[in-house]
Amino acid sequence: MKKNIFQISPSFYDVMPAEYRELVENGPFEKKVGVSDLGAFKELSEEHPLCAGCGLALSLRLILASLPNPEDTIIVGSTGCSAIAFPQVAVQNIHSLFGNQNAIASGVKRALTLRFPDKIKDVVVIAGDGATVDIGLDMVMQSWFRQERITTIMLDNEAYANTGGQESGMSQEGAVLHMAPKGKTFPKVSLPELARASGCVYVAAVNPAKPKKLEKAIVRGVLAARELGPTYIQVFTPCPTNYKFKPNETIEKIKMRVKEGTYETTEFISAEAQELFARLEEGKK
Amino acid sequence: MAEAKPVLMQGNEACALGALNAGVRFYAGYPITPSTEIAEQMAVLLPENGGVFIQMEDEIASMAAVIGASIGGMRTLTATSGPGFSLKQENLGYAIMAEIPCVVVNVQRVGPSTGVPTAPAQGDVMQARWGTHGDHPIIVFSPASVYEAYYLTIAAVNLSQKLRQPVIILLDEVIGHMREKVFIPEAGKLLVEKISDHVPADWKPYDEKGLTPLVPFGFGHYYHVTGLFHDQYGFPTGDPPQVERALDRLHAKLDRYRDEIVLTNYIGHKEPRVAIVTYGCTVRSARSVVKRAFWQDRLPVGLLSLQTIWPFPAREVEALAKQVDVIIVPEMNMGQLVGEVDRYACGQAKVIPLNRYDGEMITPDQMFELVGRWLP
Repeated sequence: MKKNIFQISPSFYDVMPAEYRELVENGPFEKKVGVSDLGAFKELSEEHPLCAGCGLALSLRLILASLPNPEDTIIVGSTGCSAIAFPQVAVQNIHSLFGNQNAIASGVKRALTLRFPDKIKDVVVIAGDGATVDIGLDMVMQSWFRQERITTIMLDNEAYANTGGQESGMSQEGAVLHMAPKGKTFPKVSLPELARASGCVYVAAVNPAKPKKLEKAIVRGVLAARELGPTYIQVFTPCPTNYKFKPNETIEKIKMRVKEGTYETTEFISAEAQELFARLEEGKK
Repeated sequence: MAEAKPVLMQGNEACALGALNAGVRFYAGYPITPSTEIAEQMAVLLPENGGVFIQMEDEIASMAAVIGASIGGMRTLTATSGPGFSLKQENLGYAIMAEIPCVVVNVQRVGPSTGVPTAPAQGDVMQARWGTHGDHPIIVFSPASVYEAYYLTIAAVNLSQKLRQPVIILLDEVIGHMREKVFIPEAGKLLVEKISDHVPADWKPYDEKGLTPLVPFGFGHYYHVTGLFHDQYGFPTGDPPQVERALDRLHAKLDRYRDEIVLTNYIGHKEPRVAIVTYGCTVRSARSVVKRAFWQDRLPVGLLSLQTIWPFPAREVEALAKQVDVIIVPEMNMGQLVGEVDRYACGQAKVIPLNRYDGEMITPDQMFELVGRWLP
C-alpha cells in the first residue's frame, strides 16, 4: 500500500488515535509483509464501523495483509457490512452496486490489461455472502465461465448482516433469522463446488482462525488469477451481532463449526495451478 | 483538406462507427432488438482496433462492466432497447453519482414491457430523464438521421468524458435501421477531446471547486468509488450540508456547460405563426411538412428539432413561443415531451400534442393537416 496517501496533518498529530499513528509510522506500506508481521496497527483505521468481534473485520485485515501486490491491487466490493469498512482501507477500491461486483471487476480487469500491458494489476472482488451467492450469483458465475482473471473472495457471515440479520443462501438450514422466523428451509449453498464446476482454477474455503492458511490461500488465489483464470476463496466470518454470541467467542465459534463438520475447509488446485505454484516455488529458491 | 467520403450506412452502424472514431475501445452488451446491430458491429470493429468487446449475461452486467472499464480508463459504450434500458437504470444512477463517464444507447421500440420489439416508438423520453431514482442530472440526445446518429455519438463520448457524466442516446427503430448517406471525415479530421490521465498533485476525485477529470485507477491516485453520497475525496458521508453540496455540484456541471450540451436546429419561416417542435424520427415527417408548407407554399411555418432533449432546451422553446401562435408537438408516444414544451411556452403560445403509439410513424400528411388547421 502506498504510504503517501496516509499522511497526518502535523496540527492533528496529537489527537490521532495511537493505532493510526502506529499505522502511518510502522505500517506495512511499501514493504513486503504478511500476516505474521502484523503489529498493533490496523489496516482498517480505528474508527471503522464494524461491530466488536466481527469475523469479517478480522478477515479483511488478514486478507489485506496477505495481498501479494497491494499497491497495484484494485478491490471491488459490494453493498453489505464489508462495504462500510472499505472506505477506511488504503487500497484502490470500488463499492459497486449490490451484486454487480464481478461484472464491474471484469470491466476493470479488461481495461487495465489493455492500458497496462507491462504491469501487474490484480483485481480482487471482496463481497459478502448475500452479494456473492444470492443477488450477484449470475454475474459471479458468468465471470467464471468467461475465465476472467479475477479473484473472488466471499466473506461468509451466513446472513444479511448489514440490514439486521436476514437469511441468505449461505445460512445453514434451520437457522432462525429475521424473515426466517421458523428457520431457513433449504441448505447452505455449496459455492466452492459450483466454483470448481464453473471453471475456477483455484478454490479454497478458509477461516481467520488459521491465519497462515488464509494467507496462503489468498496469495495462491491472486497469483493463479493473474496467470491462469478465475479463482474463488470463501472465508468464514461469523457474525456475533446477528448470531448472538459474545464478541470474544468468534474464533471459538469457527473452531467449533469446523470440528463438528458444519463448515469445511477445502482446497482445490487445478493441474495448471499446481504447475504454476510449483514453478513459483522453484523460482523462489 | 481531403473531402469527406460519403458512405451508405444504417443508424445503428453509424452509432458504432461514431463511437469507435471518438475513441471508444470497450463495449459490453447483450443482444436486443432493435439495437443488436450496434453490438454486432462493435464485436467486429473493436478487436480489429485494439479494443475489447464482451457479450455479457444481461443488461445489468453490461452496464456494470462498462462502468468498470471506464474506471480502468477506457472510453465505453453499451446499447440496448426498452426492456434492457429498464434493467440498466440502477447502474446508470451509480455512474451519475460516482461521476463515471459512459455512453448508453437506447434504440426505442414500442412498450411498455416487451411491447412490439420490431416497431418504432418514442416512449422512453421520460424514462431517460427520470428512470433511475433520485434527483439526478442527465444528458439525452435524440438523433433524427443517420448522419446525426454518427455525430451525436461522437459528441456524447466527448461530453461524457469532459463532464464525467453518462450520456444517453435515444435512437428509435426508424433511425436505427434506416440506411442513408453519411459523410465520414478522414482519420485525424475529427474532433476528439483528449482528457489527460496525468493531473496535478492536488487532484481530488470529486473536487468541490468544480469539474475534475477522472483519473483512472492505476495512475497513482488512490480513492474510493461509491454510489453513496461522498465528500470531495470519495469518502462516504451522510452529513446534510455535504449531501446538498454534492448534489448541487452534479447539477452545476451541466448548467455550466449548457450551451455545449443543448443542441437544437430551426428551419422554416423567419416569422412563423405555427411551429413544430419535435425530435428523433418524427423530425423526418416534420421536415417534409416544412418543405411543402414553407419552401413551396411560403406559409409561416417552422420546425424546431431538438437534438438534445434533456436537459430540456427551455430557452429555445421560450423564445419560439414568443414568436408563434401555435406549437405542435408530434411524438410517437401518448404525450411526453409536450408537457415540457407547454411548461416553457408559459401560455405565450398554444401547445398542441400530436400523438401516435401504434408502432407506425406519424405521417407528413397527418402533421400537414394539423398545421393547416391553425394557419391564419
